[in-house]
Parts: sequence; structure tokens; C-alpha cells
Amino acid sequence: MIYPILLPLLALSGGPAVVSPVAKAYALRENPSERQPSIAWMGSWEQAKAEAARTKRPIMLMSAAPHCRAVPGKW
Amino acid sequence: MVTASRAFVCVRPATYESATEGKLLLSLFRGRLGNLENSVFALLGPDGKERLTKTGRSPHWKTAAHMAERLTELAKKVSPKQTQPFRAQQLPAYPTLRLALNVAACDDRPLIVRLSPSVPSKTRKKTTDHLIEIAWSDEWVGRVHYANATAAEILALDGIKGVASIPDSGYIALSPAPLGQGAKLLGEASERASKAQLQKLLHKAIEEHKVRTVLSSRDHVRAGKRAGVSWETVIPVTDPGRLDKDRARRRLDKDGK
Repeated sequence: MIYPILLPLLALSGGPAVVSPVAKAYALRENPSERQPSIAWMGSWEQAKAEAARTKRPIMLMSAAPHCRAVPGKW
Repeated sequence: MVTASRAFVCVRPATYESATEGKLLLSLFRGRLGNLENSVFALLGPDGKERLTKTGRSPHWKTAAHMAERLTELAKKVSPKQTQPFRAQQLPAYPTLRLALNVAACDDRPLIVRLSPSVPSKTRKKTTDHLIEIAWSDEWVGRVHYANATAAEILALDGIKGVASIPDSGYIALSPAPLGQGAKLLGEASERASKAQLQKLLHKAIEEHKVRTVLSSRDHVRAGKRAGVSWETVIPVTDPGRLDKDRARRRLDKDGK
């Protein structure tokens, strides 16, 4: 289960809002200009820890599983 | 939220994809059964140890606006001298191509792959430095994902097999398949690419990566099951949402945790 406030955080990582499941599976949309700067997540703890030590900045950590019921491609 | 986040080093470890990171996540938050759950949220000091707020499965603020406000306050308190947005000296690359493709599919983002980065070269370093600068620039921050891989790894992907060849070095842009198991090649840049050529590659990636309609979780899972796709995690999934309580307890007992 994805908790409510995680959704805006994950949405900031990409992906348009959920639409009706009636929509054709994986249909393509043609408006890539909506892509805006977003949270730049580092992908590994070691990288992040080194950068935090170097820059003396705090760390925001949010782990998530990149699969839903063992199917990849969905947080 | 994006503006507030840029005072922080933001990291998103993939849960269950590293034993080391799994231990770290478990030290930050244990579920009600004492196990690692699907998500963990924490705000930490620059030493990676001090907890700035309560850790948990998710942020505890009711709205994104409240959370952004608190992030800004904390950043000012922890690192008052830092007035510029955070920019790393390295690419925000995922540890493996397999994971990077999956995450890019989850986020519906194109993936930029640096080919054969383990081979040292002054030219390659210069080009990589250009890409790092671009990746953390105001224009491009967070818009694409990054990974390191070899040409052989790329050629082994579903959907890439029809491509005649992949250069041994340089940079390529991929559009991940919806289930993160394959990709389409969108463009290439050489290892001697200029900053402008790399930016052109990223623009091409954004323009040609078609934004997918997002399915509900149920329909996505149904599509994945129909396609016979299954994601194998590196360490066992112990979220009670997947395992019922008894099964989770048995597994935890067996693992001696």
C-alpha cells in the first residue's frame, strides 16, 4: 500500500496522474513538454552519504519498492 | 516541494534491492512485525545518522505544502550557510541497469546510459563532467534517470535486439518499456560529445520518450501477470501487505531476525 503523502512525492519523480483504467493499456500521450524539473533522487545510499558529507547538507531519504505484487514498472 | 528538496541530498534506495541498504532501512524504521516494509521515510543530518524528524513508513505531514515548509526550516537550521541548490559531483545513477530501467518505467522517464564507464580516459571524464553539470542544472534536474552499463548489457535487453549495434563507449538514451524489462533506443552521443551535444541527446530523449497513460495498480499488475513478467528482488520482500502476518512471522523467525 502506498501511503497518501507518498503519492505526491513519487509523482514528483515522474508520471502523470492516474486516469481511468478504461483507457487503452499503456496508450501513448503526445505532450512531453509537461515534463518539468523534479526531485533529483540519488539511487544509492553510498552516493548520497558521500555527497551529504562533502556538502554538509541534510539528507531526505525515501525508499520505495519498484514493483507491485512482483510486477515491475509500478511503485 | 521541488524547491524545498533542493536544499537536501535526496536519496531513494530501492527497497529489497540491496542487503546493505536493507539493513540501513531497517535501522531507520521497523514495521509492526519488526520487519522491513515497502517504504521508509527519513530526514537525516549530514552525517547520515542524526534523525531530524521522526522516521516512518511515509512522511507524517498532512500536505505537501506543510512538508515543504518544514523541509525549508530544517535545511536552514542544519546548514545555514548553504544558499545554493544542492548539486552533486556525480551522476545520480542507479546501481544496475536492470534496476535503473525498472525505476525509469515506474517514473515514466527516459534513461541516459553511460557506456563502459569503468574504462578510464581523460576525454571520457571531461564529457562525464559535462553530463554531471547538465544533470544538476536547474533545467534538467530530475527530468531523466541515469545508469552505467556495457554495450553487451544493452544489446541483451528486450526491444533493443533489432538495433544493429551499440557503441562500446559514449552515451545513449533509452525509453523504458512499461514493465521495465526492455527499452527502445532513442539516441546516441559519442564519448567526445560536447555539452551542447549531450543537451541535444537529453532533449531528444524527452521529446521521443512517449508519456504513457498510467494504469491503476490493479490493471498494471494484471498486464504484468498476463505478460508473465515477475520482478525478483535481491532480498526477500517482508512487507505485510504482500505476506500475511503469519507468513511474515515465519519468514522472519526462519531468518533469525
